[in-house]
Amino acid sequence: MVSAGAAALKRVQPDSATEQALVDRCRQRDVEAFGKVVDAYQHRVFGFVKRMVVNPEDAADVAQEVFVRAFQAFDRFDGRSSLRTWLFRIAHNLCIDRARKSDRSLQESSLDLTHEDEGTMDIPDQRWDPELLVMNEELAQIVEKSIASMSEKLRSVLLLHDREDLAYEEIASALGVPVGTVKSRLFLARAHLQQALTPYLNGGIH
Amino acid sequence: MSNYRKEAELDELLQSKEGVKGLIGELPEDTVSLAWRSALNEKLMTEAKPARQRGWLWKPVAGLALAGALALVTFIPRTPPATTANFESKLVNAHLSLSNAREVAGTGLTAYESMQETKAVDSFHSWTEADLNL
Repeated sequence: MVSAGAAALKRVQPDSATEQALVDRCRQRDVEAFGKVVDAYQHRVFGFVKRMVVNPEDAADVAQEVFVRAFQAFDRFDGRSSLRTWLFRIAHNLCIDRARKSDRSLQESSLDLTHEDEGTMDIPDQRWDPELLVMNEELAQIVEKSIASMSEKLRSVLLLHDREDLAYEEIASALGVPVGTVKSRLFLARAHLQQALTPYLNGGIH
Repeated sequence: MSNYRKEAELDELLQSKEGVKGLIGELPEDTVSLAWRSALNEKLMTEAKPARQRGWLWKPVAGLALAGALALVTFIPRTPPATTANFESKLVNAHLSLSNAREVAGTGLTAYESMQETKAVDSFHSWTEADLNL
């Protein structure tokens, strides 16, 4: 179960006026203002990177690199997208770069769900009721494992939408793909996760 | 099938799997350690430093260069650009003064002197002894 403190950490985000003031100061390379930006987004960015980069040491390194790159390039942040979307775009790009550099293709799904033109997939399981599923450690592990087994394309969309609450348009902007592609990837990612949970629902995982 | 219809169907399918979103959202929150943040702060300070140092180094240099340029502009005498009228009058004056100089101290005889000389020669040839009894 998520602790109250952790949940509070996730919700901490500056309002738009405060954020705009911080952005203006950050453009002038104000380290103190940028520190506040880091305070606001460090946990979320780290959580995203940790699930995108399997090696924990690499994840910590990449998460730091996200903020260093953002600080370096802040004068090029034009404000067309939100600061959050911009940070996740940097994070996503760095995760992809790291995966390529380490010559480790991100583990593809054991289910063949990497092709977006695959037909619709539904799990006809009447017992699937997310409201009744209580998040415990075992379920959390299954969910994490399932996320890790997805292709990078599905995983990034799933995390940005279902975990970070980014809108379809924001994700499309961050990943540089059409909104329709975002939706189809999200559907496949959810279907993948749902299928991974089926044995748990059937009582097969203990 | 039109794009609109496809998208509507996709929205419907996504809606049917909306419950997954709750599961993802309920995953335990990840928190960064103090050591991680401290290391990040060091990196950010390193990034910020060179800009400051460059500022301290280049600002006096730029100031000196500007002062030097201003001094050059202010203190070096400037010759006024020669106008066409000035140039012409100078040319005429130069020609006249050269001509006058030739008239006064030039080599050979002037036209007038030449005429006088001719008369003198004539008088020399017509000289008689009576001329000695002056």
